[in-house]
Amino acid sequence: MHDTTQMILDLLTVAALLFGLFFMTVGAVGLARLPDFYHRVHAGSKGVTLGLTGLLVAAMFGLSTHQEATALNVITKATLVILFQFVANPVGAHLLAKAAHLDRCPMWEGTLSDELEEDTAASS
Amino acid sequence: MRLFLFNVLLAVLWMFMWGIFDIYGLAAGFVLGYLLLGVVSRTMPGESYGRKGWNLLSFSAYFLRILIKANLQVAKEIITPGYQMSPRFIRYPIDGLSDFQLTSLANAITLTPGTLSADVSEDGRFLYVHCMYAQDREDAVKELDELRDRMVKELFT
Repeated sequence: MHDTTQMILDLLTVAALLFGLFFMTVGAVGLARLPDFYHRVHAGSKGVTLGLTGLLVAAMFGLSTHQEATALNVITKATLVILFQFVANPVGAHLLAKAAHLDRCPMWEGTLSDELEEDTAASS
Repeated sequence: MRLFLFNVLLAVLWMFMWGIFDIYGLAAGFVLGYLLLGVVSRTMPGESYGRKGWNLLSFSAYFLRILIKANLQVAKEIITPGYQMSPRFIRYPIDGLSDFQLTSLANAITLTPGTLSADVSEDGRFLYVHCMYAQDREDAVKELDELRDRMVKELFT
């Protein structure tokens, strides 16, 4: 492996790591800072999905200079994890929000309207 | 879908023909099979296989763009002091979507700017979406419409 290739790969690794860490941090701070449960789910689903993607891409770049078998192993597995978390993460968020609403979790006072509440009240 | 399975079969066939049983053999066989089917499917009625792959790429690019936009928006909200949200729960009609399409749409909605799918009505006609920035209800619905239209057109044709 040439030195320049190695350097470019290292730079890409660092960039992807920073990208992932930034969104992970934002997700974590958002959990503490946003006003009600629903907003926190926003931070927890979007931020963490993109953050983990960034970290896995960093792993792909970082380990791709190892011997071929290890590199392929890491790349295929990381791709699978990225795909699966894109399916699983939103489903978890959906269920959390649904359960919270069923439990009448209080909303931020700035909430403009709640059509879900109107419809549940109308149907029962 | 049938053509996709055929594409995989062609890739496996390619591996056997050259005796390259690794990921590169599979990838090469898949790409060649895709090109072949793209040409052949032009003569068949209805579906165009070549366009499908292109649509998938174009949708992925669009999705990646709005995913990053969504995250920057949430990040901005979290980092800057004070709250600028105007949240509501809106009802979004989902008539004419299959279960699989509905699940994909709900997942995509959760990952796109300011929206979070929260519930499906009992009769399966409405999806309830928590929007972070919905000062104007119609604008929020319009954004969801764009996502749904692109999804139905590019992913499920």
